[in-house]
Amino acid sequence: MVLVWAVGAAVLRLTLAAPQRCGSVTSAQALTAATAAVQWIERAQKSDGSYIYEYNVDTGTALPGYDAVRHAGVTMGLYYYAALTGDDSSVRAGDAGLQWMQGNLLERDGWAAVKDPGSNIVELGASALMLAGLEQRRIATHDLQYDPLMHALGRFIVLMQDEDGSMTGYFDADAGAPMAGSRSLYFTGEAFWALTMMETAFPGEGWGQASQRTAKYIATRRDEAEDVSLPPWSDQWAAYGLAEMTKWTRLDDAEVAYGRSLAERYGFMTRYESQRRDDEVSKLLQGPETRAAGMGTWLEALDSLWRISKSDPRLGDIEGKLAERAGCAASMLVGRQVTGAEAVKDPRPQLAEGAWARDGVTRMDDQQHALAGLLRARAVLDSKAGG
Amino acid sequence: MEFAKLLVVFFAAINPAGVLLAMRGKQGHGPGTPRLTIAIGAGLAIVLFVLAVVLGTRIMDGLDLDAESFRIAAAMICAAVGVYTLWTGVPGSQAPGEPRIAHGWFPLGAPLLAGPASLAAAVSYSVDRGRWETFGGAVVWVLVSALLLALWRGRWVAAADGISRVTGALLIVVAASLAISGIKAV
Repeated sequence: MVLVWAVGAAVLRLTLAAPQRCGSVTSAQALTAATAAVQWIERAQKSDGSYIYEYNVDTGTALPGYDAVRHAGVTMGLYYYAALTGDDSSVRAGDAGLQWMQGNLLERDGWAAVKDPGSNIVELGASALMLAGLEQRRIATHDLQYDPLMHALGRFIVLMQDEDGSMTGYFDADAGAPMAGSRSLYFTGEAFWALTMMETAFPGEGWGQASQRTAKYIATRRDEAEDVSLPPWSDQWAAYGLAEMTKWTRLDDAEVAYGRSLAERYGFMTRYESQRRDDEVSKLLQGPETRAAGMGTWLEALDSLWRISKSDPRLGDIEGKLAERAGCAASMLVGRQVTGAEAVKDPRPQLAEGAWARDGVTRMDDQQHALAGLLRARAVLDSKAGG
Repeated sequence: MEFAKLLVVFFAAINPAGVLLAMRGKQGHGPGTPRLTIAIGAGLAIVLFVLAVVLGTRIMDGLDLDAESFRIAAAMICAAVGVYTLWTGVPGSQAPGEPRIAHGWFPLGAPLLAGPASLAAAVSYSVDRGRWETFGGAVVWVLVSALLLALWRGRWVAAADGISRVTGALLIVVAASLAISGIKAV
């Protein structure tokens, strides 16, 4: 019996009770890592403004494929860096990425949407993230030249919004109409966040009401309506949007409850990730480490929810835990980034340094989400450092 | 209310009916368990529970585990004991023969009164709910079990077996609740 328990304890220790490893990271280290990621994106940018989509750092080969939604996200990341740090050096690369999107715009009836070149199916997410990027650019540069384009993109999002706040995911350019009933779990949150920022930038134009319709849908109906098997859907964009909403309204109880459920989900994922190791035993027993595009989103969400918890007493009881998890996720991300010294051995060190690679492969949104998460998390890290 | 929950948890984890059956041994025996054996067992269990609740935070630190993650691990231990009890009718090692004084240490003190499930629960709940409230929840059932053991004369074995197995099932429910609270925690 004692032997059985000893074996059981050992198995438990290797699996569910494996040690959690959360190092410490400072706000300055987070900024350094985010800067290195921005520099990777700049180096990975092609002359037409697009980026290397996916890249194997071990073999030095770029992998095929492209995606307008991720392009818009990465471009937004460049503007986000400028907006959050005050260092506008990344705006130039962002503007090149913006030009690529402007070259793929579909404009009709006062609205605009960006689409993948060669496709006539327009994904809502690309336009939402393009709008989010322009909102960050506006904050970073105080340049108002794109305000008309922002409004046109915003009108496209509203065109795609259904009465109950749900979002039609795709628009058929050939048919000239939204593809009724099409849904994307990603695009809804992206569109929601973009709308909330429109209300902040242009108050009183009705963007707030549109945001709140989608907030209500996400918080109360989406998981069931869109068949999410393990609710809530892990949606960092929704967390961003809720945090943005607190700038101009008070969240209702359903939104707060939804925010709490997101916090629980991201907290658990961060704890579990901290038990994983980059070795074969851990990969076998606990699965491979999460890619940076995933972990970055956790950090983005944890930080957003932490910001809400600081101002809303209904989530005040989890403020400390959110900060703890955000600090843990930030430290794991910083620790997993390819450093300059590690990159030297790779065929093209300039496309390895600053990247996050899993099994040797990095995708452009790995850098986007990681840098956004790390930039936002600096406030959490500063608050932890200040006690 | 919180203390009532703790009482339910430790009733399931200590399983007084299972303790009676396990001390009766595989063959069963006539006379009851000697008082000194019971006193030693209860004393050892109480000491172990004191250590568990006092050192709970240090144990988690030593294991590099957050309280929330420890809950999930504790749940797995409780579930394993629950399944074993449901299957066999006893929550752990049985007395190897006629009760002797030494059986107060093993198996009565540990692992019957203070076993893997009850100690894991004590560590987990001491961090989440407070040391002495948790200790109180555990010690109530240690004392109840000791009292029953002193009074029991080996009758109603089938009833005790049924109660013990149902208690094992309850421990599985407790484990599920503990796991969910660990998963749903930030």
